[in-house]
Amino acid sequence: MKKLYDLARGTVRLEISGAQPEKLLNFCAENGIEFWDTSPKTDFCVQITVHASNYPLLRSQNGRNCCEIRLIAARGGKSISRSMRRRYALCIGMGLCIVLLAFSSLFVWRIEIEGNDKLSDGAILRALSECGVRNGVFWPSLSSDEVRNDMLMKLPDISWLSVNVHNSRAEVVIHERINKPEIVDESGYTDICAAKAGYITKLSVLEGKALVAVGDTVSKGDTLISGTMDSETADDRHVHAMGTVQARTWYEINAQTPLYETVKGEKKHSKSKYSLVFGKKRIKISADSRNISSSCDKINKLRYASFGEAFMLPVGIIKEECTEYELYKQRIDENAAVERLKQNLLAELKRRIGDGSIITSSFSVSKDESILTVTLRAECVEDIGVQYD
Amino acid sequence: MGKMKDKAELLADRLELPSDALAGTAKLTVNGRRRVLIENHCGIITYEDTVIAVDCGGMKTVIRGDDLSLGAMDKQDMLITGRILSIEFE
Repeated sequence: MKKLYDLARGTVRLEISGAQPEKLLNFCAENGIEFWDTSPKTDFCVQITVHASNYPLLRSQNGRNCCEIRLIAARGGKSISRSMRRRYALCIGMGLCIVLLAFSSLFVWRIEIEGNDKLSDGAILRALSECGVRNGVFWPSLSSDEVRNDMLMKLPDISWLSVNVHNSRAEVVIHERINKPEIVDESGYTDICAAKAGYITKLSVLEGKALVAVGDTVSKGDTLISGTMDSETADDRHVHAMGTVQARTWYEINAQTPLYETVKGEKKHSKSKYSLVFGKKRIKISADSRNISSSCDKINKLRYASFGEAFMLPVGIIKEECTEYELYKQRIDENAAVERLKQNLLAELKRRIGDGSIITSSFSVSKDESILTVTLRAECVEDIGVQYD
Repeated sequence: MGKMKDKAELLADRLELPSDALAGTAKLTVNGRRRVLIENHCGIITYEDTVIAVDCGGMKTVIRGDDLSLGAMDKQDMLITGRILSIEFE
């Protein structure tokens, strides 16, 4: 910005030579003449840059203070206006461009969303579009409060949002709703049943009547703690059974992978195609728009024309790069595949036992002509009780 | 004039006042070894890339270093940048 300002005012580069060129620097400082890009003295010469408007005052000092001033270069200011004087079309074009740029900055050409984890950008953009925030909308007519209210009605997963418009860029900041924890209704009548078969090692009953004891073996679905409690003086009492039933459980989980996989070979050749984007319309400008092969990687790069963050235009260019490759079958690295399957099996086991712990585990590997199988056998301790209405 | 200034500095010392405000003496602010700001200077005496001498009223301040240059300068303040090796008062 400073450079543009200097260019508009016009600058001159001067060479001050003499016995003491520093005296002219002092003269500049005393008279409020701004100077910069000062090169240190070499061979009794100092070079400085000043605004063109200050040049006549400095020139008046030529020959005084034992100094001579020589003009080296002049940029901007009047020299530009002189050169533009006869170029009417260029001036009109530049003026038109500036007006168009200023006008285009009143419309939203880019929408940026941040702060969303659960909701996809697409869902938010669709909802925003229904609320009137879309590409090409006249942003001074938008009301952030109205958009927020409409969006909160359309997307209940949002707890708060704000729409900030910076020239042609709309920045949508989303705060997603945090789900409330599930509240257990302790007034209802429930039993606790076995979610898995196992051998009970620990029983802790908080409410209800235990129907099993430590050392019992239970099957899946057996009632462990009943919500029906006997009463010596009245009818049976129905309560919300609560407690934990730790049991030893056994698992056998298999994972398989093919011994042969299809992989990409060497890249043959790549081809780039270009398209112009005007708003939402896409115009292909490459002569040949066919795909070079069915087996190719496609990478699309979209670049909008913009002048920094200040002005964004609805015009962009898409570069579509297709790189062709060959597909071939190869045998997998068995050791790596076995390790990968073991990790996956352990992760699956941990997911199934939740807060439980693994006591022992072992793996076995088998394979036929095309399939590699890894089996995990494990003994665990976990809470097998689940509430059953 | 020099004696008056000395007396003003002495008075500022006795009254525990900043001498640059009372006596108009030069004030040097050194940031690391890359920048020196001189306030209340009376002009530049020597300007070379290895030495810059500044008139600070009753004394001369000589800044020695490498790639020294005048960052900005006006009637009161002067900013010197570069790799500063020493600052001498004469």
